[in-house]
Amino acid sequence: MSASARPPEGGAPSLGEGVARRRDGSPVSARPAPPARQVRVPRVRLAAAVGASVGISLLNDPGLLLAAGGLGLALLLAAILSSGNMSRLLRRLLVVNVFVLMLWLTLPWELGANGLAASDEGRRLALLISLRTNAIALCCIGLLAGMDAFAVARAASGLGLPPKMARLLALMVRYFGLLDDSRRRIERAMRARGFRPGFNLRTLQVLAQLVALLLVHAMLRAERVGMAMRARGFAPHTPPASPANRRRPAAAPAPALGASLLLLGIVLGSAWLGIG
Amino acid sequence: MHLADGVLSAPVLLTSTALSVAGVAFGLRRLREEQLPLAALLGAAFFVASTIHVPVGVGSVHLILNGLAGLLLGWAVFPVLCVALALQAALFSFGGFAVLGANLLIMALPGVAAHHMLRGRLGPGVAHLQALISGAACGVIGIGGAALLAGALLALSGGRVFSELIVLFGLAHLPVLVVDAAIGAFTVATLVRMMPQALASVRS
Repeated sequence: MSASARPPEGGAPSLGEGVARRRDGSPVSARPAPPARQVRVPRVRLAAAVGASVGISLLNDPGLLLAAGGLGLALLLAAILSSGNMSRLLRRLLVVNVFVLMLWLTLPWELGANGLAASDEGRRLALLISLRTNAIALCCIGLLAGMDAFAVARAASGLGLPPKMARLLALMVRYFGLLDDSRRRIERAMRARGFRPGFNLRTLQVLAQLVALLLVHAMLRAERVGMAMRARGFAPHTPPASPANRRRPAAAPAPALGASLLLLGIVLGSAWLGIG
Repeated sequence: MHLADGVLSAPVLLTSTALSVAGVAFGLRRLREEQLPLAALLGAAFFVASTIHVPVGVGSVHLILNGLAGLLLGWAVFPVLCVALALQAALFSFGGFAVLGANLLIMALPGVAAHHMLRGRLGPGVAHLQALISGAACGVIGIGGAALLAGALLALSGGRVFSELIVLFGLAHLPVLVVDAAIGAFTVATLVRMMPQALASVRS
């Protein structure tokens, strides 16, 4: 849902919670390679969540949907028991039900020639969709609870994304945190200069400056990232170096190779002449 | 602008997913390897910008900026928004996985339209008024197009039963459209002043 009555501060899902940082705050490169189970389990959880979403979307029988909802509820309860983070998980369920609320406000009613009339068909459809939406949400929230953006990105890459898409995903997840920090820093500076958001033109102008600054930060950073990637072997138009071709010695340019061979020949020749 | 999982019918889900997969594949093919960091960083910036809340009356709306993202990214807006929507579904339960293709189509197609309709009007050295108009047009095309597409997918799924929902959905997005158009206008005008070369890529 886009329009909402959430407050400007604090109501938005914090990127820091799910996206920006690992829970223990350790840098990515400082971690040893995770054991195979830690790699496989998030993949299975993500695949199960996607599979459950698609499978339940195709169900039309209320009994089956109730069963799926029961399974989802069990998954969510298990997630709450293991993570102990009940309020955040339940808040996500609430987000889903904003749309369901819109359904119930509109579907059971029909605007006809005689004014507003109740529609049985609409009520049945609203009930079916509510069951389906909540069953899917329960399953997904239960299965994915506790996974941060890095875990989701790794799991998705492991499930066979095309390599370019996987690189895009990895880069985006890597830089959410950085740009979110930029946003917080700029907002702090704005507040320090006395800016208070309100329902007026000035707020729109200042927030647009914030967006423009974020985009400029992103563009400047992209140049540096591009250079750093090239320095690490991500050459444009060629796939990134795999372990197999990284071990291969770098191909020397032909003139340098020719000059080296000529020099070697001269040295060997003069040495042979000297011995002779 | 997210449709929840479980609302659309199976044929609509399948068709919109197929179209979105084609859009993502085309966007990835057009995206050159050296453009990958820029696309990713812009995608991350738009993701962060979408968490900004703008006060409207007693409540607030959050930015979407799909038109502006489309203007700057072109067809690459498909893979970039695909990543953003998938993460929103996984981390915050906005939208969902089965409806990801439909939501992507709703958000990215107006972005591509904004790119093709507005790129001729922008570039380094563009007049201030022209920048304001183009930025506002990004918001109108982005959110207006998305609301129309969402309405069309709902109508194809449920026919007449959904008509009141479509109207309510459209009305709920009117403030979003106004805010996105205003923010888009000022953002493009600021970008033109702050970093004129930022809009050079729009023409390519």
